[in-house]
Amino acid sequence: MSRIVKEYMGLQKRLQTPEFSWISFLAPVDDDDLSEWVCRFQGPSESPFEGFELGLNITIDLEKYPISGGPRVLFEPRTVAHPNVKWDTGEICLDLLKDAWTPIYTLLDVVGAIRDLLADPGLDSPLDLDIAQIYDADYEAYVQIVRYRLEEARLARV
Amino acid sequence: MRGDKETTNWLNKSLMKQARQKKLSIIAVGVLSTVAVTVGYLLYLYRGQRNPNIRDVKPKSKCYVLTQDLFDKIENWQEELSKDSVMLVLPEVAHLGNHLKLQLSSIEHKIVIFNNSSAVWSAVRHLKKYELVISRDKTSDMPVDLRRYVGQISHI
Amino acid sequence: MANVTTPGNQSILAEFPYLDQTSHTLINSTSLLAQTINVPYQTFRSFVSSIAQRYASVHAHVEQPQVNENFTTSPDFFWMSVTYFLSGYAASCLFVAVILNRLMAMSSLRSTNQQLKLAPWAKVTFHMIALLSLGYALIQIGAQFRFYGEEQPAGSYMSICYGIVCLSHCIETFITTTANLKPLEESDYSLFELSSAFYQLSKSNATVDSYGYTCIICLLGRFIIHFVEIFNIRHYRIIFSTLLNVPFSVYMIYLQFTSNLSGIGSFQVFRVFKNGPKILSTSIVILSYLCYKLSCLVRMGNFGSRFGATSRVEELQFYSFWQNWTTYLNLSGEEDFYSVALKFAVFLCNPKQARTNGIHREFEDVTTPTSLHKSYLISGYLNKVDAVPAQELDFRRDLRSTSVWRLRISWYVTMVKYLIGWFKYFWKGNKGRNILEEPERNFNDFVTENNYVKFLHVKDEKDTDKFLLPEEDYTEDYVPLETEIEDVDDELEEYDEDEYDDNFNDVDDDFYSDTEGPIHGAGQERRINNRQLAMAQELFNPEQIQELIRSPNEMSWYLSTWAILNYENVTNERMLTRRRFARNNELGILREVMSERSPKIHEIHEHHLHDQDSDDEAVDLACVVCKTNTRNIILWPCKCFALCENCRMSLGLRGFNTCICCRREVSGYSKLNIV
Repeated sequence: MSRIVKEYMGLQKRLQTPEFSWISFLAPVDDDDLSEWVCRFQGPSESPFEGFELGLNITIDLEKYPISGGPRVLFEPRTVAHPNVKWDTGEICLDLLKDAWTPIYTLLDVVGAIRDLLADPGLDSPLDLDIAQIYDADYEAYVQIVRYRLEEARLARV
Repeated sequence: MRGDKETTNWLNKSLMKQARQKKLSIIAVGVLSTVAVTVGYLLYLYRGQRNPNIRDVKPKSKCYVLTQDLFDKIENWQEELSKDSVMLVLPEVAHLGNHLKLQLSSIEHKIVIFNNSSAVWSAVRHLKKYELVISRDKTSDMPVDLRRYVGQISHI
Repeated sequence: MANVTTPGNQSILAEFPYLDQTSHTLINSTSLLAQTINVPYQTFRSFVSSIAQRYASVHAHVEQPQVNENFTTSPDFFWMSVTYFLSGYAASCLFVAVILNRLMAMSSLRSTNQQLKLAPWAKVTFHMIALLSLGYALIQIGAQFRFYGEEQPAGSYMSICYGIVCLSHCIETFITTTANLKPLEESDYSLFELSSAFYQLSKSNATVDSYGYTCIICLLGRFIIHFVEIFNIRHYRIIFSTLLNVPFSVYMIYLQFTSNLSGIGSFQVFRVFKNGPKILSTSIVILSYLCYKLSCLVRMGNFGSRFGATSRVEELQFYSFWQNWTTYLNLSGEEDFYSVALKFAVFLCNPKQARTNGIHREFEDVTTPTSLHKSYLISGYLNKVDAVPAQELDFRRDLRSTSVWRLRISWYVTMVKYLIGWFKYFWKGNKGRNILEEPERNFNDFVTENNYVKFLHVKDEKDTDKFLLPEEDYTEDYVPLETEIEDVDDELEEYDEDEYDDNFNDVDDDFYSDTEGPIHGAGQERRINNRQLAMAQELFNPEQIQELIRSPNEMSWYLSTWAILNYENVTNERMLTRRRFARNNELGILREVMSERSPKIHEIHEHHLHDQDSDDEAVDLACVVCKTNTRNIILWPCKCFALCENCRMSLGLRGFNTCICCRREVSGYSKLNIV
């Protein structure tokens, strides 16, 4: 049994624990094909994302996972304004997904790390310079802009 | 003996012919590749011009930079902000921004009040709206590179 | 060279007269053949005379050396070498060689192993003949030295001497070959050397100073051979030979230095060539020995073994050699001094031979690493380490943290202590050495499997200091002031043994019910009840009970102490000792321990299910990567234990260099065998 299958099998139980109550769901798009996953989770508390639900699209290369490479994770495009997220594509700049990936991490770890990143952006490697500048200069404005984007996205979904 | 001479002559000629053919083919390949590269580059440029990324997906999205002047000029903010638009409130008119927020509670998320004026321009850059609405007196404060991030600037 | 007299070269010849050797020719003829001989001869002559002139110019005040000793520049020397082969000496040498060869061939036995014992008369006769003739020659040499008697002319004496030596050779060879032994040889003076030397000496009318010493030592050497043969003490020959050679060499050196030091002539070529190697070898051996003894001296003593370095004499590389050098040199005692000295010196100085014997160690030019450097590997995950890496075993890492000055001061202090110890060692002498050399022994060494039992118990309770295993407490129990309970307690203990039951619960209940009734009086009962109540109130609050139920750790603690308290309560106010409790509650303790252990296993199981580490095995942890196989790989130096063999291989092939758990660099791995 491969690692991803094991993860999948154990996922249901783990998602029900209070530790992961902030994940609305994390499941493959199609149960037969474990290479595409979708996740929706609540934004971290004490951040502009609080109270909003965010969506992730996860792609796993079944040959490489977990040793050679980690999952490819993107936010839904044009929803998240964050210094480490590219607005247009939803690309996330997180060391865990790139060089600091080790096979120890699971999908849950990745999603958790992304959630933590939302609360604490890493300003030394921003993908969106303008937002990073706003974050630096004027935190309240940053919060409002993020919320603006999230609201627009929520309204669009509806 | 004579036969040998003839065959050697013939061999030499055929070798020369082959060499010439080789040369020609190399030249032809070179020319074709240059042409292909040029055409491709032109196409790329053209396509780039066709779809610039400086514009927002939805046309006619607006970004208002609120000043006292602008506030006075426009009467119905509800209507203005109901479409795809956002209002950035400069620090000096923060009170106006708060007022508007209370007034337009349903769309209050579209109003962003700043404490730092340089952050306003960063926000304009980030938001990449199609149209930037700004009053004339603030035009001088605008950074020069803003034109790249918005399609059209309306001075009111 | 002969005809070079051009005007330009005139000045050269004038300045270097030795270049002009035209006057000296070997062959007086102008033919080409003569020239081929003359020219090299003249070249050699010019070379030698240039050297001679240099010496002459340096020591110009010294008179010219005697002609007799100066062979090399006279044409006679060359001629003599040629004419030797036509002389009687050469002929006799050849003749004797033939005789010896035939003797050896004809007298040898069929088998090589068999040792034959000759009839004594034959042996003694032959050897006596040799001894007598040698004795005659020796006596004659005294006469030659003009100590007594009349002197014979040098030539005739030398020929007599030579003849006697040949005779001695023949006799020795004959006897030993017949007896299937190896003939004792005098490697210093072979027949051929003697013959050529004697020939030259006789031809040049040498004085007794030149040939006398050679004759003496040669004759004496042969005398020793026959002497040891007669008395069957062949293996002592080396001793005699040493006794002969050493003073003789010393005398030779003395002579050399006291004689005329200047000029090339005073350097007696023959003498030097004969004795030079002997003296050189001996000096090498003596020097080596002195060096060795010095290092022994430095290493000996009570310097102890601090920092893991043993300063013992045995550590020296040549120690084993010097302890039994006779076996290393294959000394049988029958060799002569010259050969032994040479062999000895060559052995000491020859690295190849020493290396094959494992004595000498030379540093190689290249230090090949015992293990492959980690930079050569794709990844540390592929480098199997069979033993714990040395750095892990290094418990002296704190040394690195000490400052330089502290180390220096400590080093100085250590050196001073060593010096003091050294002086003390010399003060004590041999006695002290032996005592200090003994390793420390402690009492534990005497306790073995068979007699350890004796050490466990003593007959007399007062000898408590004799114990090695003071696990049992033989001290008096603490007795509180109420002494009237004593006899009651004894009764109770007897009663306990009767009531010993398998069922834990029953025991408790029986205790409680049985002991309370017949034994305790009413007053004590009341006291006990109060005590119980007090204890209960102390332990349990209604609020605490809620907590207890929720926290399993505390519950088990309470349960265990409750058993003890309960028991103590039951056995009234006498202080409860471990001995009493254990004696009466053995099973209870056992069960308690078991229950203590099993929740841990249960907890681990819970934890695993919670962490999703493994669904299959309860206790074994699964690899973090595949979550399927059990872990059995430990990484060095971070010692993280998280991988299975397959995942390790995959990681290694992908070129990982850092530990996946802790991100520390991985230099190697070891596979653990989990049983």
